[in-house]
Amino acid sequence: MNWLARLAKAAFLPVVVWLAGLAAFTVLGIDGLFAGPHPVFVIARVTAYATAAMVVAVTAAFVAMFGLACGAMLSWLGESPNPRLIVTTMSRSFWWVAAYVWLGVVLLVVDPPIALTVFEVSEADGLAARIMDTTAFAWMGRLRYIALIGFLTMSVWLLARHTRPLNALLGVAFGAAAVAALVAGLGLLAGPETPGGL
Amino acid sequence: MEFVARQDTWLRCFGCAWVLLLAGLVAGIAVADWINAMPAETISPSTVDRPGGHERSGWELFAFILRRNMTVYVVLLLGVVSAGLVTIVVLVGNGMALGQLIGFAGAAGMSLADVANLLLPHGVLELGALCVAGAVGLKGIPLAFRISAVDRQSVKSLRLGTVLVFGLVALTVAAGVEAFVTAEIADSIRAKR
Repeated sequence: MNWLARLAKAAFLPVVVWLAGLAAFTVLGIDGLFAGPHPVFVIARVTAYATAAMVVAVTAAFVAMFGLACGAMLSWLGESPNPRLIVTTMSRSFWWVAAYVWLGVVLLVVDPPIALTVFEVSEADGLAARIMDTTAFAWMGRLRYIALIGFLTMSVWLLARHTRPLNALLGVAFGAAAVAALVAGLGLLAGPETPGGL
Repeated sequence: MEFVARQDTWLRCFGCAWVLLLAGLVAGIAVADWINAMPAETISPSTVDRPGGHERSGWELFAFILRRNMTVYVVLLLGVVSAGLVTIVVLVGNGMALGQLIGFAGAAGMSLADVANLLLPHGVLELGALCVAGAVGLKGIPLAFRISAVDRQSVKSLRLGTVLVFGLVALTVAAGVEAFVTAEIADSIRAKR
């Protein structure tokens, strides 16, 4: 039982739970939407799994950027944050994201997506319409800000146990602003989807 | 132990970046072959509604390619803060996309010489530049393992400013070649077929 208590306290546990939930969500979502042996579905599945891997990697990078910016701001405010504190804070705050993803898994199990037909895949709005019709995807879209707010609030709370609360709040605000600037910058750099839109 | 990027580790990371890209390329060709080997109960292209695009100028294409490639370049650099994770996924993903392109072009009856003519003029510089960013991104792996030893000197040793300027110059040239030279080659191949 001792090892179970240690495991429950482990800093990496929320990340593992998140990854497991994301894997389940990806498999249920992708295999539900793009079911069938047709080459179009095979290409769609391969592309969707590659996108899911990219989401994991980019999320890790954004959270790391967030943590770095938080740490930099706390240092500037005269606190002495160490890498362990930042990593533990980011990791434990991930309980919110993990809960959000597992909620999506439950919704997908309760109301699985209806598989697309070949003709729907060919239509420009077919996938978007099906995503909006699926309970899990629609609710995931609505609840993402709650997960984000939970993540940020828990980061402030965990940092405030080792630093002054106002400094923790400023650190998290700066981290969030830095990541928002990075996302916006990358979006501006990538530009519109089609070259004609310049 | 202090972390400072040395020349031999740079070369090792650069080599690793190429290996990841080539591994993705091989996987992409395999996926394309696998898909091509499937029973063909495909729909006629004439039944698919495609949005009517307009003829774009070379400069529009140049700007589009440059922006996209610079985005990939910057995302590859994010490996520095994500223990190389983003870099690995992006390098393998780009290799797979390239491999699938080669695989499908081959299945469509395009000769290897034509594929080489379309890819090599800009590809050597473009992929070389992306692998330089990949090498920097992969430095995130040793950085993550020695996070407590990271200081100002170790961050400076990554030479992020030089790498960004190099990427901008190399990708600008590559985008110019792709938009003006490769597009011409593509038109001549299309006219031949």
